[in-house]
Amino acid sequence: MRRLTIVVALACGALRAQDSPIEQFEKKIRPVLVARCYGCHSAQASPTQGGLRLDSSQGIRQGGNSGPLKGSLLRALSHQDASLKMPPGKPLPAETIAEFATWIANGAPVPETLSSAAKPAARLWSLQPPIAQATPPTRNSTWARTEIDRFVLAKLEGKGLTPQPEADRKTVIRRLYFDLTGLPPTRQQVDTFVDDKAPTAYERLVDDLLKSPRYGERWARHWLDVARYADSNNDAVNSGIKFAWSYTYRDWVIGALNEDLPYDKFLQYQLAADRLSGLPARHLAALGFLSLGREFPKSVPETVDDRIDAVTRGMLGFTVACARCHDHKFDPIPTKDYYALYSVFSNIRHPRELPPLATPTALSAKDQAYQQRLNRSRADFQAYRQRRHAEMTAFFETQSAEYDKAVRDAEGHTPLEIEELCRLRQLNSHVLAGWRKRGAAVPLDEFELIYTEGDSNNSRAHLNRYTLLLSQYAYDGAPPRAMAVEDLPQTTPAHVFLRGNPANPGVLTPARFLSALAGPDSPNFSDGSGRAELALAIIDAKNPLTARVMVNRVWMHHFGMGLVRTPSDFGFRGEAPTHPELLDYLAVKFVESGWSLKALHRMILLSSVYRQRSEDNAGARAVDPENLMLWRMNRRRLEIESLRDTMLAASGQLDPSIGGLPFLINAQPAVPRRTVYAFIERGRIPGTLAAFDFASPDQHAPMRYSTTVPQQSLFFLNSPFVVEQAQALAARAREASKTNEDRIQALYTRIFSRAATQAEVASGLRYLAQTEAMPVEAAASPWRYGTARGGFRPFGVFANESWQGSGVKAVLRPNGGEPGEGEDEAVVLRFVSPAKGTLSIEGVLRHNQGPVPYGDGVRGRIVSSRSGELASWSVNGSSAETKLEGMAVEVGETIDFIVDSRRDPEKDGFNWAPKIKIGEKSWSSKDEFQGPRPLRLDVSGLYAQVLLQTNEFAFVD
Amino acid sequence: MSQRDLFTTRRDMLRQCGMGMGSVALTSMLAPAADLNPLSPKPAPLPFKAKRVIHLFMNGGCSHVDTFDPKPELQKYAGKAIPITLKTERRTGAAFPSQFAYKHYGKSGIEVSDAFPLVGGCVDDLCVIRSMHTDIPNHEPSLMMMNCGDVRQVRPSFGSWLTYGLGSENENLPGFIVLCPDGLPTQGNQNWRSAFLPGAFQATHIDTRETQIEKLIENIRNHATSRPGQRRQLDLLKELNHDYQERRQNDSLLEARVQSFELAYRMQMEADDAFDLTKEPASIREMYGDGLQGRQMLIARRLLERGVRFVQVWHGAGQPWDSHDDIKTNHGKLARECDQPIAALLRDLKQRGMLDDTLVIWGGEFGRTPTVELPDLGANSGMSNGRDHNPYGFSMWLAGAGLKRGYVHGATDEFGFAAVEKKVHVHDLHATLLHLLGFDHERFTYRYAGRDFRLTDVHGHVVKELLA
Repeated sequence: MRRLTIVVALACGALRAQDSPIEQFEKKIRPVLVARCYGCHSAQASPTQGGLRLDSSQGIRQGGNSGPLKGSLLRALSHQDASLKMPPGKPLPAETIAEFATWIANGAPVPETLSSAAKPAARLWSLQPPIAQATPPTRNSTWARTEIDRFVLAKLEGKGLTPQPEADRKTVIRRLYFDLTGLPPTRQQVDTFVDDKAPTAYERLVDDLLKSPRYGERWARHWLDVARYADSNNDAVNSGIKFAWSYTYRDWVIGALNEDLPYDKFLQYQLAADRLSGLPARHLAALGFLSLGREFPKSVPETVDDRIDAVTRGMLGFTVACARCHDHKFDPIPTKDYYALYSVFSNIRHPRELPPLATPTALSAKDQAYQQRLNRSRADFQAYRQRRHAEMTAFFETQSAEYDKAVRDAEGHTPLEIEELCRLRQLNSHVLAGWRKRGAAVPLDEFELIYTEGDSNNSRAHLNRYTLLLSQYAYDGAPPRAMAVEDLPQTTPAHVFLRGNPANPGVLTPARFLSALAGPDSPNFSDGSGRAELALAIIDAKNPLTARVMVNRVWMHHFGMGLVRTPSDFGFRGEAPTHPELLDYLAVKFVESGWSLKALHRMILLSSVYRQRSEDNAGARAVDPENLMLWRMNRRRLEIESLRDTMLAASGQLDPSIGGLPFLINAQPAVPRRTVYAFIERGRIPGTLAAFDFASPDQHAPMRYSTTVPQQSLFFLNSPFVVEQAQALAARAREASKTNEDRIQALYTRIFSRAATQAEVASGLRYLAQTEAMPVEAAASPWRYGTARGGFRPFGVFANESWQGSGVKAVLRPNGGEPGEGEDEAVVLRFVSPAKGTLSIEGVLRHNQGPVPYGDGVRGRIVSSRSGELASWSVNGSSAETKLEGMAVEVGETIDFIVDSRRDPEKDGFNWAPKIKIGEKSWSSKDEFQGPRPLRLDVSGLYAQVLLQTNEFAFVD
Repeated sequence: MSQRDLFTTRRDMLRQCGMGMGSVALTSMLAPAADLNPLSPKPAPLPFKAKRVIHLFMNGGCSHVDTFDPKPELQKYAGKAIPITLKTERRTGAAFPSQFAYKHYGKSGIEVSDAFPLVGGCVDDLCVIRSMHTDIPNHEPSLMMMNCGDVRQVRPSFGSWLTYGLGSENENLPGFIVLCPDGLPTQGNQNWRSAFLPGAFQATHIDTRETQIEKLIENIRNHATSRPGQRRQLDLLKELNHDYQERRQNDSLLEARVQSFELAYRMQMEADDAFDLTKEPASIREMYGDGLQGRQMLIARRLLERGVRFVQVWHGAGQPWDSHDDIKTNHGKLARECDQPIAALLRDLKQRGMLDDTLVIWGGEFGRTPTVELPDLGANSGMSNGRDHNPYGFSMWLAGAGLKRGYVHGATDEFGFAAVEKKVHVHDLHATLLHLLGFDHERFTYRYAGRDFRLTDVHGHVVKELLA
């Protein structure tokens, strides 16, 4: 694991009584070997020094050129023998040497699995090529419809189990709809299917659903979990910085699934669309897989690690990231393989200009304005760099005597010694390097090497300004662009980071494929970063992992669990497949079909296994409580996407439009779009999604958890979203029918796609006969929130504790906000006076600038409906006290606090939370800040809400 | 349940914490419905002293030489170079003596500076560690180390591990609550993430400036109907669900969902109660003081009392203790804000007998240099009266369950730059805290992405000398 240091061994002290010699080896010896010896005595060292390999059990047993370890090891460690001092330099601490002595005294045992090259790759099931074997014979000859069934049935019979019979049509259609589209069938669709007596009815239904564009929306979300998709890197609500066109990747995935893009192409484009010639430009959007991962602005290795992990676990089911600090402990993945992939993914970057996805049209005035601002932001940064570079160069010139001397003194010394010299003399080592090379400090294009902390902060501020502008532009309707990546013009291969530490470079590891799959001597990649070659290696039909991993994922989503229960770990520590022959069969057929996912779905869905009932069977449960053998269909709870979408569908509000900019899921009133289009903020998943086990986009997510927590119930009980849908449902039922009985039937039709039974009608009638007292409404607030368009236009949307307009910027929060562009988009906090008297106003209007100021601040005004403008202030990186006193005010008079962007619409966030006093009464805009008035439900709304809360609504048999 | 039972297989572990993977919980037919709530209380696998934790986070990095680690040598060297040079984030210069005078307190006579006179009054209950150290002199990685045990990689936070291991004593409240006024600390939600553990174990962040319960817990309040109205809804729901379950035997997931509605119903009341400080007697409110820190310490105590497993209290948004300049003014102000509330919390826990099974942790993500920070090109505000970050040595104190009281552990060098005696790394602190809570930190693991992960990764040793 990472950062194993000698300190560990040192502090461990004596061997504890219960540690077996092997445990002692793992805890005390091996970390030291990894930390202090592998650099020269392991497979990663080239050449292996002294013929000694300490990273394999065989190597340890045989010893090296100095003979068996038993004789030589302690001698070497003790540094007594001048010809054999190991490790070189300072000897190991005495405690550690004592550990080695104990270990040797115990016979120097090592676990058999210890090895890198000698890892038993051959034995790992997932690395064997999948072979479609003949289906096994079964006793029951009527149940099986397909080959899949025969594989499953043979296993069941082997355990003495029998499968469940086919579920009824009502159950099956509901299952298929949710499974393939994430939405329920309508009552009419159910009835039509139930009445369709044709033998091909089921098959036709499957085909129809696979053709539905809803299919892509549903299944894209599964892939987006794998791809750790998010629309921002971090904290978008506060910073405003989002990924500009992340949605183009999400929409590409939806489109690719809908058109059944072969899975090999699907992967290839996500890794290397930009390296393939003749590919339509729209496929560049696929590169979002690489560009939308978690970015660590201060740590390249972490950013690269995220990519390696998403690619290897996501596409290969192989936990390569485990080999970051040491050879994989269990699987045949040496550290060198990790850094070979590091060489691929560290040599890519975001292109300066993202490629357009739409045919360019003439730029509108708005586009031009954004372009100008973007250019200005770039120019400002360039100017900053030039100015600071000149200053720093001049500063180092003043020390030229010292640097000249250091150049002379450094002659003939090692880099490490020169580093030390710089430290002692308080010189900058990069400057010294420049001095040695060219007799001057560093050139402008290497300026970041000698950034001061202030320079780093300021550069980040410049960059943030640019990315903020770009995302504002994108969210303001900029023509879509692909979130592409490109190779660096000059690629540099990585070194192994010994123990994962970048400051500790080991052997050079040019880009190449995993040795367990490509063999130990496969050629290095040669095309740029190597992404195109990596993609080919992954989608090679001979790759034993790729197809298996994907068919297992597909199976998992159809059945609730995979044939391999660890869908992203097909290694030794993962679980072995419950049905290896079936997994292989599916993998082989998948590749044979031309990697068609739709063909794969069809194959699975037509099986009898899939069409089983989900009923319990006590006998089978006793034998196989987890249903590993699939003696029934698993009952499943809907994921949050389906729960939410189904409520919208039932209430008749669902907006069926496909793709486009993300929407805010916690907005009031609710945005009736499908949940897959919700804005996903990395690092802060909206509460609704988080409570329902939404996959965290921090990392690749193999599968979702399934927890039952009261927060989920609170959502159904109290959330504005559910209340809104209940109200809409009740309204529809009221419109459609006159009697309570008919209304109950209408609700059951909309919510459950079926008729209510007599008992259900009776219980509904009893409930509806109650009189429900509406809760008392809170007193009306004197505050209103809006923009200055047409004088005053109330905001329509409340989300993230703020009122928002339809534009990209105008927003009001408890303590301030931000105006949009121009007079019309000025934000207005309006106070409607509930009293007559003498008015006084207090408050501070504040505008903050960061370390690199830009824009021209904001203007705040106070305007009365009776007396016109009362005062006006402009602030730019400053604040102004906004105090007014002694004004007469009438009941109903409005006092508007208006903030506009002045001329320059950049950097306009402000704080202003005025307090108002009339006579003895006072109001605080901050303390009384509130969202829309909560909806209240009448008895029919409450009834509809209960139906949405039922288990019948949330589960699929 | 023996330790072996608890940790044998991943599936056992899932069963144990009532959680499934994929859209079908593995537990669906194995566990009683009540156990399907991952926050149901679970016994610690080993004998334990502490049942709950409160972590007072002096974020930004409190200076140890100005608070709990007296260094008279700094006075002698004032303005002169000290013979120790360690790489710091920014350039620092000469020795910079403590900006606060020290006094001996209590029977133990432990020295505490004038910055914390009231906490000093509680020193006989404290277990002061003067030899803490961590890895990196930057806030972000050090916050990650202190909270999640790794400087950079995405790992679950201590509180997430704990609620994963022990659940919560009060199912009506979140098991892991973070209090921070006015926004988020540096690194935000990363500090209390659950990473690869299920989202249920992530902390609920509460802005203690807020007083409205709805802003504290999402969807906690019902506006659509009255409480009796909601009860009638739930009664109908039960009836409908009952009919549905009649036809679907032996599925505890169905029953779990039914129960979770009842739980949510009760939670609405419980949460109201927990955050309502007007229910405290005036004497208690006075003891904590009426400032923001007093308010949040008192909320914290009410939460602990109600069985919340882990409460983390941050001093403020951003990194308030990061006094690169004007340390005397800045540290003085911050300490004044929290001295009385922290002392009140300690006394209050003690008088309720809760100090016997509660772990109190106080400290920042690192300490500060004993040398003065130099004004640098484009870096700080050009003053020479503050201190830079110091990961090499700093102080923290613990109090409560199973710990020595009135005890000082370890020491930094004569200037307070680096821990030299009985050094305690953050990993060791984690190992020790887990030990007190009934876990062997080497066996408390979670299988993810092919590895068994631990809070302490491959590090950490229980510091036995801290134990009573």
